[in-house]
Amino acid sequence: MTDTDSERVPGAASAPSSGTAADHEGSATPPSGTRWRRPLLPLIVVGTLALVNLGLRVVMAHKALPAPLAGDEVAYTTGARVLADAVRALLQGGEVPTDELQARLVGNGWFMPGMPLLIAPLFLLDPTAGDFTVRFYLGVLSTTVFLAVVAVVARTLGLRTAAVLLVVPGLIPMWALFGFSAWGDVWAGLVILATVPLLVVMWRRLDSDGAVRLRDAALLGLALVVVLYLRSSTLPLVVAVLVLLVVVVLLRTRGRALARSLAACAVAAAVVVALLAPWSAIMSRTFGERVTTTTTMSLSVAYAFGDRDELCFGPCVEGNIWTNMARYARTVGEQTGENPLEVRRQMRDYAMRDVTPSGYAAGVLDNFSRYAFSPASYDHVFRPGATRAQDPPELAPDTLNIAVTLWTYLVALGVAAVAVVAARRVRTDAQVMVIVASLLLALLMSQPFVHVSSGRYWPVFAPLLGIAIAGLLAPADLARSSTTLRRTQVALAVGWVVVVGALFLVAG
Amino acid sequence: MTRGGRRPLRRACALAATVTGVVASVAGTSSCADLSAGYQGPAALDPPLAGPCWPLPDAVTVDVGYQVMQQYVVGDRWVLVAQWDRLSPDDFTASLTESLVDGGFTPRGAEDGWHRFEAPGYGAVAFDVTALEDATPETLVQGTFRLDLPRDAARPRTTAGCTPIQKVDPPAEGATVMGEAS
Repeated sequence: MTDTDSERVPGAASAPSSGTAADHEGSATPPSGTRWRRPLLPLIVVGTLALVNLGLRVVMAHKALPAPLAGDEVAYTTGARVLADAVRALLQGGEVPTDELQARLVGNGWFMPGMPLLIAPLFLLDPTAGDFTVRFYLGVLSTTVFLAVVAVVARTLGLRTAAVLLVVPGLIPMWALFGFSAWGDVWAGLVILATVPLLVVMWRRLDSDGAVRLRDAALLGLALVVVLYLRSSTLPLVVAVLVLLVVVVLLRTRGRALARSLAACAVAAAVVVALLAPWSAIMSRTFGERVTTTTTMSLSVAYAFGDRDELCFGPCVEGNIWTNMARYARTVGEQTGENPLEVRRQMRDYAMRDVTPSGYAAGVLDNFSRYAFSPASYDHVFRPGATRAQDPPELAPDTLNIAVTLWTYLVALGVAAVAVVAARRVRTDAQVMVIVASLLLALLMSQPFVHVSSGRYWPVFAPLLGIAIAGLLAPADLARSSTTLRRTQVALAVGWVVVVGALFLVAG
Repeated sequence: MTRGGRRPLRRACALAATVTGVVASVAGTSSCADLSAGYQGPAALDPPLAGPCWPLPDAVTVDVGYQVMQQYVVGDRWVLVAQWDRLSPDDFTASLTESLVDGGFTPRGAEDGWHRFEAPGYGAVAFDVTALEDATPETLVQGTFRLDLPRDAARPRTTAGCTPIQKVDPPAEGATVMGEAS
């Protein structure tokens, strides 16, 4: 399969020099206006894969829909109900349940409101929607969004990349299953995936001596802030992408193009700041100090790396540890007149007072193993609830789902790792794709450093594995390969090896 | 608000109450009296040491910040395990002693690290103090104390929701300084 539709690159449609995008795409087909000449086989392959994806979703729906919402899913859905109530009250001139909003949306400050905002429209349409309907709504929506993003990728990055994405993550059963979940990870992963074609389009324009377009920058800012609203742990990624954009602009452009591109960068940053500001303001006012996204960090670090018998200056009360730690911090805050967030920081410091570098590194590796190597461990969540507890076969682990997920995922991870480490001489587009995937993956690997991990989080980075693999599968093209990009790729590969090696070394 | 607007709100409240109830029951907390049904979620601490929920006599005013963590029962004694805030162990001992004396208790001396008191009509109480390991003067929590009360004190004077306290097994040794087990 070849990337043959490059001439329809939206971002390059108004490029200053015609044919630029096609040049970068390395297309073997004639330039614009030749859509009808495109080989049919790649389209058939992509179409077939899209249908197989739909089929897998239908199969997975049978597993996902009867499963009751679990854990944080319940909190997000409750937030959505309250949000819908508030909107309905506002529209009907009734009393907005502000206390309820405060309690369910802000609460302990653990969660961003992205998922409640995403689910709220369902409760506006159907206030009685139950878990089944919520999962159905999310499943249909995530499938649609995924196929839409794949379509955008097909237009901008080519059919090969689209096809790879339809396999990784598309055909990993557990990833399809997470599409029916109310956790934000799979959703944040989809929006992160949507930033890749945007970034590549920006690169093409910069590489052809053009400027970053305001529209692209605004879209990137919008995508980044949506990612942040879905998963607060992506804050390093959001900041790094904006900084990287500025650095690339400074390195690649001069004169008017530089000024225009910097203005576009400012627009991207402004969109992020402007749309995040209301939430940050609510959080900061609630907690009495500056809070950008959530208040999770101090206690998540303490729980992940500290002595769990010392989290509350001794053992916490039994039960849900997260709720109890937050409640304890609030109590101590009330008793001492100290801000509960300061109490949480003291709890962290006390629980971590004996943590050594090697203990911390071992903890990170332990988190990392669950973060990246247990893709099927949430299979148990998608099983029928307690009402069907009498039916043992339905509660047994789904060995087929677990096995297929494990193998498809691990093979994908292995190939993506090769893509990240092996800096091949391919056309610049593919180089940029691998660099972007490598960099974004690295930034998403920040979570195991600060938060206890589980098999819930990998869907956030799974689509990037597909991008990296697509980059690896690009045909060798010495003439169109950039030495600078290759060096960048090598530097990133060295970074990966050094960080992982250092962790193993320090952990002993 | 119209009926259409109220019903989902009620449902949300019901759901929230259910979630809270589930969390509370999962938490394994239990009030001494059967008050768990009245639990309204993690609201402000209703001071358990003196007040309607977990009463010392009303006259006892505790001037130190504290949080009750656990409770256990040994014979006719009810022991609260709590942390105190800010004060050094000596200052805390002095402060709690003063509170009890001002509240009508008479000191009965110390025994095995327990400071003993007694008040007519209430009975004997005692407390012991353990400093928090590695605490600095800036540490908010400074240590753990146990308050050994007559079991009768575990009967709240209110029907309102009281903060539930995790119930634990008493330690094998030194669970109380008084009562049947002493």
